[in-house]
Amino acid sequence: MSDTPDRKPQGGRRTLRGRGRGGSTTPGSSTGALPSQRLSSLRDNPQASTSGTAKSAGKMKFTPKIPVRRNKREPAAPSSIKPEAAAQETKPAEQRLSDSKGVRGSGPQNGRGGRGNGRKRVELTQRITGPFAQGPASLGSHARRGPATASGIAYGGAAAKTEADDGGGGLNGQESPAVVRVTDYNERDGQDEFDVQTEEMALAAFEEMSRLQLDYNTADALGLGKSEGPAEEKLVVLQIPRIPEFELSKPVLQRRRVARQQQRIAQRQKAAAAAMDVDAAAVDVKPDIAALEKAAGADGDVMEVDIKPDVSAADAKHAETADSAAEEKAGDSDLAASVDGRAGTLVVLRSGAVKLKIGDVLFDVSRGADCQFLRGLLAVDVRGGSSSAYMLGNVDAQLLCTPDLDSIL
Amino acid sequence: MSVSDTPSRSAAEYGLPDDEIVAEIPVYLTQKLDKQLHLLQYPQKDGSITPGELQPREARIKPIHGQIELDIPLDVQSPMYNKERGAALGVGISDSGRLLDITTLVSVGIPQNSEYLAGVMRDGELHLTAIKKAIQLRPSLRYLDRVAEKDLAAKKMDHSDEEEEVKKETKAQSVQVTVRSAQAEEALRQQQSSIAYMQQKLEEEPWSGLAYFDVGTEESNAVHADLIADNKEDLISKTTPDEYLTAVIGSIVPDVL
Repeated sequence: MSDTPDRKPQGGRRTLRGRGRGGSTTPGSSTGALPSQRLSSLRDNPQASTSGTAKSAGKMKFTPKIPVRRNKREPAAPSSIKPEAAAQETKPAEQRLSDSKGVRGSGPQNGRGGRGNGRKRVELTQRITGPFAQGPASLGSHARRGPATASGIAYGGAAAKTEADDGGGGLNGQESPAVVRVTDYNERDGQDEFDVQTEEMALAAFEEMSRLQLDYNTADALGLGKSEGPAEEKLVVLQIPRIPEFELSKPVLQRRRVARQQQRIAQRQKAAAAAMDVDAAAVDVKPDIAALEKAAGADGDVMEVDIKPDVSAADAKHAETADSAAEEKAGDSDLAASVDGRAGTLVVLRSGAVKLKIGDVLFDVSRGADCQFLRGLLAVDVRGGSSSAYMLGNVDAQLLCTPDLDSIL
Repeated sequence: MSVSDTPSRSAAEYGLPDDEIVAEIPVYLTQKLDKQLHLLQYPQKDGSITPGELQPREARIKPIHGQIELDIPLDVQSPMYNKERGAALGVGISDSGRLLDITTLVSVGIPQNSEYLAGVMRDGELHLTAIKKAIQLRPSLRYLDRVAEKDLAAKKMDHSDEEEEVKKETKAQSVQVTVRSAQAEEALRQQQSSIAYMQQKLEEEPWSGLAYFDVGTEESNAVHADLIADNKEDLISKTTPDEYLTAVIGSIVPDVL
């Protein structure tokens, strides 16, 4: 057959080598290197044993340690066991495995980058648990017994078609449950284009983002940017965890109380004037009213006097005082309820930050998420028998207020 | 509104001593409208449309539950409008053979995790009012239900050819309703906390008319003025920062029950 010197078999391998060459000859190859490019895995790995399943002597038994897919593609890397290389090889197997098991790559896991270049490879493995933990049934149990012979290779779960499994592959010795190397097929195509994202890159990206944040001008939302002219009114929605409580200051309360009383008195005066049958008591009461206007004390319910003409002036006054006191209280609660006034200040700082101080609490103001859809403000009044709705305008921007914990704590 | 002309001062009182104040805006709080303000969201409408485009022909409200319905007119003359389909679906609105010419938007309440304030920026002043509720307006497809009901009724009529049967059915239905609500307190007590019950309550409340005043109308402008505080005096704060923080934390209800 071949021209090579017939050597004594120095090992099962040798013999096989010698025989396996078929037609090609290279006389000078005394070292035993096979001239042919085929069967490179055999050439480079004289150690690889046949694991005892060698078939008849005449037949080449190709037993790499890595499960190899029986397709036209020749294993790119020799069966010297390098995890990276192995990963490459097992990919086709995984593909089938993944397809059959539906295990999808958890692609965007941390630290994961493109794999294709082989420069930096991130090993992604995922434990198989549950009913699939034992691997495919096609394997045959002998391959699964005990820890694997393959070192450190995650068993790609060769699909049924590969017959070359029986020696190689096996469960990953490091972990007892079967493990699947997970691939993200969405990224597979782009593997050659993307670089792996290193930590430096991630940090750089973060800094970039923070820088951008400052430029994301919150002040613009309020129409304070220099680019905008003196604006029309803007309607904004402020989001705040809780609105602090306020009360009116004493002078304001006082002022309001007096104003309200004046109002009331004025009304009654009009009513009294209209009523023609004002008796002397009523007339007497009027100047008192005038005198008391300035004081905080309650006064003059002229209506009462009209209704009860029999009541003596003194009694009438008593009644008046009591009534007015009650009214005053009612009035006060109304006043207290409608808190109206300056609650704080909003400042825009040169760095772009915007702060809000409401009462004694300091807030950071940032821009809320951009909203694509329409937002409006509606005032709905259901008091009385009829209801009315007043559309007050569209919301232009949303601002988020977060308490500035540094100042509070 | 001009950016502050005062010599820039340090923002020390705002916790950033190295920073300068560029603009200072007084913030006023008012409560005149705070029982009435609603934030409306129109998820299907683009944010750039003018307010006038959403003027409803008719509006309804359930005052107790606060649910609102707006009938927004559709342009039936538009070349895009499919008149046959419009006629078929118009049955869901009325029997008079009119085309489907409105879109009904129904409001749905949104859970709120924080308080919202409406702010009006005017003349360098910010006026805030608390917002009572946030709601979303979504199209209601009730007309489809009605079309289906009518189809069903029509089929029944064809089948049995007895109008009485249809009437009986409707009668039966209404009787069922009365029985249910008249039924005992025991059942009611259980039901009261159920969502189904609340839904039913909502459906039972009748719609009442809602007068709608769009942006730009006199009435609306008048109410708008209530967003601005009259009193410019300082308010006294009743909460210290510590109390504030405690209150905020205390009011957070964890999502996990």
